[in-house]
Amino acid sequence: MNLSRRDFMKLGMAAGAIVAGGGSLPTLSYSEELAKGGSSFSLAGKKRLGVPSSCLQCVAVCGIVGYVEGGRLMKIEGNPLHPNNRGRVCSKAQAGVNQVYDPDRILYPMRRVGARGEGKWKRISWDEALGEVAGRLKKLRDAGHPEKFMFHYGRNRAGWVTGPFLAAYGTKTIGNHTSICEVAKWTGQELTWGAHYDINDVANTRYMLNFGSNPLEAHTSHNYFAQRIVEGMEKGAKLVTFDVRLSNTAAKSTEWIPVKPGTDGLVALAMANVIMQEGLHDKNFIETWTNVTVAELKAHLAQYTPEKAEVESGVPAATIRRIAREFAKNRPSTVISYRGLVAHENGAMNERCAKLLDAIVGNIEAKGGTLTNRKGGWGKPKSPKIEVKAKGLKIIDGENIAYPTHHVNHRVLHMIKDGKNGRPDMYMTYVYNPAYVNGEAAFNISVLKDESLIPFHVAVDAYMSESTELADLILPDATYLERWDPEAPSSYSLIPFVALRQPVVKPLGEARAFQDVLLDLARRIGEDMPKLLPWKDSEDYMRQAAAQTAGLKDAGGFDRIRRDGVFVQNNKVEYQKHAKELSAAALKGTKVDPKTGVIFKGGDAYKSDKQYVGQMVKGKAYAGFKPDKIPKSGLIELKSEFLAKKGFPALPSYLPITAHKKMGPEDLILTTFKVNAQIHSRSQNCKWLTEIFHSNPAWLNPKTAAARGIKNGDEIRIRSAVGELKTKARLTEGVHPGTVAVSMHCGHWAYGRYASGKTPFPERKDEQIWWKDNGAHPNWIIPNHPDPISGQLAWMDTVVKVERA
Amino acid sequence: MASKKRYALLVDLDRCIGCHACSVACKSEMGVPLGVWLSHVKYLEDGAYPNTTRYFLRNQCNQCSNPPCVAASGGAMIQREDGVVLIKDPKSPSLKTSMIACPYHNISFDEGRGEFVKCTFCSHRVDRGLVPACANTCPTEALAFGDLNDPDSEIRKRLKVKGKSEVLKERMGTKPNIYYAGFKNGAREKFEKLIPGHRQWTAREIEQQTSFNA
Repeated sequence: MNLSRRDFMKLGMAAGAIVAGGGSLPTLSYSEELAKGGSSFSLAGKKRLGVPSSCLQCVAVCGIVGYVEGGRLMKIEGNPLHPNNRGRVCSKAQAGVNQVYDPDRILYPMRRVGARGEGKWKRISWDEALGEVAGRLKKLRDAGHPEKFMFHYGRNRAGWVTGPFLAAYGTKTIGNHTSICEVAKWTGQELTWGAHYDINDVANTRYMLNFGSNPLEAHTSHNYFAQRIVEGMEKGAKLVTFDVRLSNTAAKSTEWIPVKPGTDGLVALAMANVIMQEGLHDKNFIETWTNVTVAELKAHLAQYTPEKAEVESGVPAATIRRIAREFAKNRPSTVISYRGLVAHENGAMNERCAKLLDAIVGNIEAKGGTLTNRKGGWGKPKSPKIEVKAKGLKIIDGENIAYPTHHVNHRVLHMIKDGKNGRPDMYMTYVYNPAYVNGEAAFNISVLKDESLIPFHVAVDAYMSESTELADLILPDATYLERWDPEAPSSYSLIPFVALRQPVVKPLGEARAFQDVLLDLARRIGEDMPKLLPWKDSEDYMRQAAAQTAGLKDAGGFDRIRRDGVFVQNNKVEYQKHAKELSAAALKGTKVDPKTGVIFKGGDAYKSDKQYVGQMVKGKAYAGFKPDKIPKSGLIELKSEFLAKKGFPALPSYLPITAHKKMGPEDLILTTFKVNAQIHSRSQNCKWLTEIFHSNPAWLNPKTAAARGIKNGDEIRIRSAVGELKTKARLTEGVHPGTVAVSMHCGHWAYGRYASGKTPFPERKDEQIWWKDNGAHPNWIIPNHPDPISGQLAWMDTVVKVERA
Repeated sequence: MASKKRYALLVDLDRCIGCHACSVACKSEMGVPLGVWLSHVKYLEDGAYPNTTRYFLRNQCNQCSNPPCVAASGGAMIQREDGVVLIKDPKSPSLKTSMIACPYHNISFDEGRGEFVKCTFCSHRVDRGLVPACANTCPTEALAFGDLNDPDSEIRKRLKVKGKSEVLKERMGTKPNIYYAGFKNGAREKFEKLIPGHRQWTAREIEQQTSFNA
């Protein structure tokens, strides 16, 4: 039977009407206990059931309460018990309701019947679908080639089961998506202080220096970061934002300073130079906790004069000097950084420049400064140790990347096309849309369509994305509101806590949580796999995990966290974590590496970050800055031998963008951005969000537009080396004249009616899609060019020509 | 007990980040279909590069103490004792007159249902001791709701901290109960120009003034 979209909707509606609450769902009247807010009543005064859970529109993973009436999710609000978002949620979190009831949602397993990408599908049973997937997996494993199964994930919070499953199966051909987000930031940190992620303690700071981050609209910790920035500013802190574009963060800043794309690192270095030359630095911190001396740093930074930085960046030297002094004198201060700084060919190095600024004034680990990550942790259920020897195809780390510590996913399809390191027989995508989210969309589509390059593609997805429509088999996933996961987001209240994702409603139609599907697949593959993944289902896993979670077991365990949605593991806020002295017990059986002073355990020499215990400083043993992935010392390595040995400058330096060196006078730099009412690629099917933001005209400075005869609203053509994009111009004084800015959310050609503008029929009789323009997607013209240190996709470097269409 | 209640909302523009959380809360709480708005957030850019900025304005029914819409409604609208202005008979043709009487564009016609609609101040929530959906979710607590006659209410405390507050189109004599604090550089007057009044918002205006879609 071939299903049309209309059939989908009919069945979806029917399923929506019959999903029942009760059963395993909690039946507490949660909202009544809330201090304020909480919609325990419908418009008609009907009482609603509140189920606390964790959001997954964006990766901030705020605490939410889903309000359910007659088995249907009616509304989402914030969970007041959640230490991060404190009862408040953004536009996106609330539109999670739309994710469940998207009329174009995939509700049954389906097999392709026409040509790949033709859109012809046959509904099949779960038994048939899983029989086929398990059969193919078993065949590869039995033949000794588990690495020919590639698993490629996008927004994956199911690592607790995908990890053990893939390890037990024996494949290391696992792709992720970090290189299109902010990997340069993470690798830059791993080379500098160690374990990645930083928390700007903005509620307690006096000065925020922001390079290219837009936390008031989008960030890995958006909502709760934004709350604390506003709190800090109300207490009198200043916020200075360097950005090529007037983001809402720039608009709310004390000062917006436009900067030429790719030169933020140079501006930071010039500021560091000013601070060192004027003696505004923290000598004690530098010489205790970094691996350079003040003299060494001063000598190195002297080349970065504000005047030289002005020529390249366009930021006046006087402004650089003034901001440098303000930043150094108004302590505690903190440097905020994100994609404006790091989504460049020089991204990882730029992040090192940001951390340099924080380090030289002693902001790191200081109250109101820049902190290493803080988070709680779930325990793991007892299960047999997985000792399967896994194999992997060398296609996940790109070509010639120095430290691909989070892999180079946007090069995967290039590696598959090239074929010299082998190709997967079976490619499984999980909530991942490579056709849309990487650069060079046309290339991505051509590889995904080619059965000689990718013989079999299984997509695990709840929506018909641009990549899922190119699959051979579709497994309909449950949305994040219909399943279980353990969560422990970075804690912006600085106290460790764990959070729970639990089903707010039952999965619609025949959708099944992929977490449970994997456990099912393990049983179908058989042999040692069921023994290595011994859980009945997700709920069983979560119950056992709760019993192993520090503090939770004695505080009510699984039932407690189901009731509250969160559990605080420790109420103490700690600063200066690196300066904690190690106890004699911690030092037992350790050795000291004579070269670096690293205290390590296991082996005769310090070779792996896993051996790290602490750091010797001036004859004493301290916790230090814990390395991760790169076996650096426990000091902040402003001087990196790891970079030097790969041919990069050891000290933070300015690396000009290759493509920008040979720009003509007509050329502009394309920059992309996120807005507050959408997440990157997975929210445009949410009608409440897309009604607010559905088209993305290109931002052009009026001066730039006038030089090209372009008026507001004109059709324009943007051309790069890899393609051409037709869109509209929006003239604004809020963008650097050397750039054209296009948001990355729009121009879906699939993903349902709201995202793509393809309108088969209205979802509700009383409403129509009223907007006509669904925008244009910039990824058609952005090359998949990586930062050679981290592999980061250089999103913000594309040189383009803009003209009237 | 003091005198009767008078509900009001403070929009603290120093705290507002223009995030649209209130707009989606409204859609969700009230079941508002696409193409109809009981509230929205306007954006306005100001200044010349590089001294450019952007202002936000949350816009909704002003819950006026002196509501011209009620007077024009021929009995189809009411004002409760606590000041909340409500539509009683949403299908009444006389509400067209109320729509024209409103200087803030905040009575709309929902074509799909054939009904006039506007913000109810979430009276179904407020009557059960909850705050309106918008104030409940506002991530930066830019929205403070409460009883102006109660000195301990959230809004009274916040108004005291802010010192100065303004209303939109004060000269109209409508006595709005939506207060704004933190307008800068004549932003109130600039926003007021975007609100000519006496009709409903067009989809085009919403599209242009919310998130710059066009």
